[in-house]
Amino acid sequence: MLHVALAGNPNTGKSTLFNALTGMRQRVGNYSGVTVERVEGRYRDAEGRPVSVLDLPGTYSLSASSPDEEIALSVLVGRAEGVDTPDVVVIVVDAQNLERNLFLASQVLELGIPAVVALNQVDAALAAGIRIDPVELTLEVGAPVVATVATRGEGLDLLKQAVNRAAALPPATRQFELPDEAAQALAPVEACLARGGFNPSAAAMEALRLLAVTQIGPHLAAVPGLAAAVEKARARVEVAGLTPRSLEAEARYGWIAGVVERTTERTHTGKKTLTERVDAVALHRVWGPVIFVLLMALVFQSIFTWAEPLIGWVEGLFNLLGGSVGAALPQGDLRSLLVDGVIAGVGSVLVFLPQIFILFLFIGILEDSGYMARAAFIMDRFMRSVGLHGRSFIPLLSGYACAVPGVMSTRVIENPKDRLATIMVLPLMSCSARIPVYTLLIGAFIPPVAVAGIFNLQGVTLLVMYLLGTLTALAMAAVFKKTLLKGRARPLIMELPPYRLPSVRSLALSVGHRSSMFLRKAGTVILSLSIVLWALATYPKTKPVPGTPAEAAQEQQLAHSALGRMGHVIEPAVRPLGYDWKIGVGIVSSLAAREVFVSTMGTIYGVGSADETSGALREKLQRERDPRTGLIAYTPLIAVGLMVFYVYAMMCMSTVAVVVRETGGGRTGVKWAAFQFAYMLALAYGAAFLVYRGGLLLGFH
Amino acid sequence: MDSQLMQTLVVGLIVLAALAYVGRRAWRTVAAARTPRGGADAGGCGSDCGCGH
Repeated sequence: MLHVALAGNPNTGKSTLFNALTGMRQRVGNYSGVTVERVEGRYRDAEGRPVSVLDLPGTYSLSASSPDEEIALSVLVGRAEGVDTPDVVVIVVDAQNLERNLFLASQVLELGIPAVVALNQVDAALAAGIRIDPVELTLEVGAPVVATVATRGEGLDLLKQAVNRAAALPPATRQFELPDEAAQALAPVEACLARGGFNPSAAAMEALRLLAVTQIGPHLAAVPGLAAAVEKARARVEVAGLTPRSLEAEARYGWIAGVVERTTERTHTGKKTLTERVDAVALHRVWGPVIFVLLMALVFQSIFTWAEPLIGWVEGLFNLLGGSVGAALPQGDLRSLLVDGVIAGVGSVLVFLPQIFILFLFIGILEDSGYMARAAFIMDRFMRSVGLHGRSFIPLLSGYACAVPGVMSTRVIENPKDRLATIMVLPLMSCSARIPVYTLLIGAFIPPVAVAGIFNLQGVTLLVMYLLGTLTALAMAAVFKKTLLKGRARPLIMELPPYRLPSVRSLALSVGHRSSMFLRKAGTVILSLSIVLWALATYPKTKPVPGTPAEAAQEQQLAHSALGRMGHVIEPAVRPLGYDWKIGVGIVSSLAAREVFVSTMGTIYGVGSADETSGALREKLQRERDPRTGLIAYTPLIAVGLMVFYVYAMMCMSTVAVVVRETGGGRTGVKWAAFQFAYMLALAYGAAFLVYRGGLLLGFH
Repeated sequence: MDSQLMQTLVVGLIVLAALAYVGRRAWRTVAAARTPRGGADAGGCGSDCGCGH
């Protein structure tokens, strides 16, 4: 099978091209030893032969100064553990930024691997008045160049043909000359690398690259005498009056300037591009933040209004399923386990799939359209005011989907104190796991009344919960940066990609993948915990006093069960917040994952209900009465307090685990994770207490 | 064997299997956390966090 690797700068449409080539036939994993994502897929060529495609991390160079660059380089030189050496490399180049993209391309082309250049986004380049001649560029770089528009699938057949033929072509070589003194100084380094198994072309590329880097990198660790040879070469280059650190950049950019001049024709229309016109408003000092908040409001509004009918259908489906299973099985524990434990528990979480789907769809649209980078730019002002680096906002934004990749992506932050401060506040960003909790409580207790004519109170409440988490994250970051993690804020430098129409295929893949992860979690962790909680809520059994009404008998059984007894132990701790033992049990069980709160309530109300098809969980919560007073047990005030608790509490063991590891592992990691868990729990308890007690004082109930 | 006893046995097996799964997951999470940064694959995120990784 032919092995193809895709290399390229970030924002070149590399992943879109990968999706267009491989479709749904993808596998996501990790490179051995590091947490860099490894995405592989397959396609069949015109003759029906399978071709394996590896999407390398997007990098600006092969300098190996970050884990992504190190991995890309290791794979391309055939030194990555468990990864096949590519037979052909496809270098994805953004036609709108040819000059910058050719730096990485020139490095890859020198590695001696058969290569094809995919000149992507030629449509956007043409619209911006940039016309590149692919034939001329082919002659300049020494490898076939194919013009593509990955979002529309244009040029893919030609690209596949070029990939098939590339393996038979002679590999490209360096197209520029180094000064004689530099070439002589590097010769011993190249010889050293050649003895270490590198081909002459790759050895020449590596030798030039090593002049500018401070560490030679793990993939070269086994080459004997390399560090000493590089040191000598640096000294000789300096003696010759050249600068080792900038020699590679000067040589490559010198060549690139000529290539761009000979292959590119620019027609200045005088008109501003669409991106420039949109950015004039979207990045405006005043309108930028206003548009950002309005967009967020639209997202949360849509989560409620669009998902509502779908949620009704899913609820109906689970009620029907529960009824059918209940009717098919004889009375007994197995029927109760399936109906009250599995269907009520897992079903109560799965009904929120439409909302999670819509959230992921919006996140995908914002990412693919290029707006997410603008959001980071807009938020930079606020980030700096709290002492954080602007780069921190990208991990914080990914925290809206899930804190775990957010914490891992803080590795892009170079300053250790900035990174630690970001990790410490990141779980305060409301992740998708909180959606079932928020939606259950909002749907049950917040009326869908209009606000300001266009919004409804349910969507506004959800937006407030997200804003509360975000603003508290920034406030806590300011506290950490002024106390435990003092340090100066530094300016943000980032690339703003041009706006693009998101590709439907790409969106479908990312939303489908993320939603399937949610389904998998429901089918594994939540299913298992629902079964365990059902057992705890069912045993030991008690015999009801004859003549006790069915509902009261179920309530007595629940109170007598192991779960009921545990709940009554927990109850004094949560009573000050207005919660009963059932919510207390829900909170404790959701330490594993936040959605488990919903499945726990589903199981408790499944076991505690005499009627198995008595409606959705939110209706049961609305009807619940305090057995001691006979009054309504859960009020809107309690629901708001509970949501605030979930905004702040660190109820996710996966996040705790990744924080331990990312803050150094061992005792240091445990210390930071324990500190984070404790401060967030204190914040959650304090805020929920203030909301409930303050609300009561103000006359709410 | 009557139907009630059969149901109880099946339920017992299912609950044990669920407990074993939850225990295994908890153990794997702790083990992944103990490995310092850069020394393990993404076990914490792993398969089920809903984050798409």
